[in-house]
Amino acid sequence: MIRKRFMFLGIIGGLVVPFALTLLPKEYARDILVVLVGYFGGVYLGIGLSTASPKKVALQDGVSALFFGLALAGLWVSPLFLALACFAHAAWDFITEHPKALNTPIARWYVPTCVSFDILLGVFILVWWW
Amino acid sequence: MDEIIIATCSLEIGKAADVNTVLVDGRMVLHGGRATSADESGIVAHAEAAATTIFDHSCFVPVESDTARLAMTQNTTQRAHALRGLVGGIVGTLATIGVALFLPKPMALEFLSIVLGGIAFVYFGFVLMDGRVREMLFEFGNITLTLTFAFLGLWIAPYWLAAGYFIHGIWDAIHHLGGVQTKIPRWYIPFCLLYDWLVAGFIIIWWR
Repeated sequence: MIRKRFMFLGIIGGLVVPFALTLLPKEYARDILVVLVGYFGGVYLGIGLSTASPKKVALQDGVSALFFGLALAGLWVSPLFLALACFAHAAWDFITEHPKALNTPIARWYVPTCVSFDILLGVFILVWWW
Repeated sequence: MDEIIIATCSLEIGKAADVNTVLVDGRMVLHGGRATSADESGIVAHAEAAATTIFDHSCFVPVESDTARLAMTQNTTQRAHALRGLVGGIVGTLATIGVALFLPKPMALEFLSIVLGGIAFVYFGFVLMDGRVREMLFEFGNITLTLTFAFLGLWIAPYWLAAGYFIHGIWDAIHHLGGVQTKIPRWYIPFCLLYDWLVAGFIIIWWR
């Protein structure tokens, strides 16, 4: 029930943020999305460095670098890389928290909120730039 | 081998609690795990969770309190963390400056903006693992401020970006002084502070 509530929060964010972005010139909206994907990289760096396992640190740091690369590709190559980053972020959030995968104890609201938000944002980017 | 185990949290006897850092002979063996018992002086007797991936449980045994040794161990560890952070900060700065100088100026500006956005959100990762609401609100405030500077730097003038890096360094210092108590690896604060201020200085000189 709680997870559904957080998912609903992510859905609201996933509708409001794209709407706000459409009010901006496309170039500015893209810059905001690029920095947002940079955030995907930053957050995993923080999560990775907070874990005690060197393997998890290395893995999260690698994923962080990957998202940072996707942000730059979204800026310099094609905005579609930003959509790819959003979908990948949703998947990685799920993997990071899942007990049978990385089993990282993140704040409970984060994954359901972020997964629903990322998927909607990814779809928006695909539709807007396709 | 004598083992000294220190938890930086205050753990009540008979209660379990999250442990920030556990040191064994001055070496960090557990960060962000869970202690399940402690002796009267707050020394961790048993720890679990993340610790199992690094050390066998057998090393988490109660030891006699020895104030002088504990103080010496803590000082040595603090110096080691500071040194690790400072060396990392210099290496990170050189790498960032290298990439920025390699790129055309407008692209370098975009790169530095993304990096500022990214480092703002590293604290978000820390606080997601920490889980405390008060710290989360503080970190959200800082992220909003830092992102504002990143966009101002990108859209108006690069000096805003330099200001963003400088202010983020101040945020690191606030963590160091204990103003915000988000659980962070000890070496990260000197690393990030040095990195932020060196990159801020570079941007000012580079864009003049």
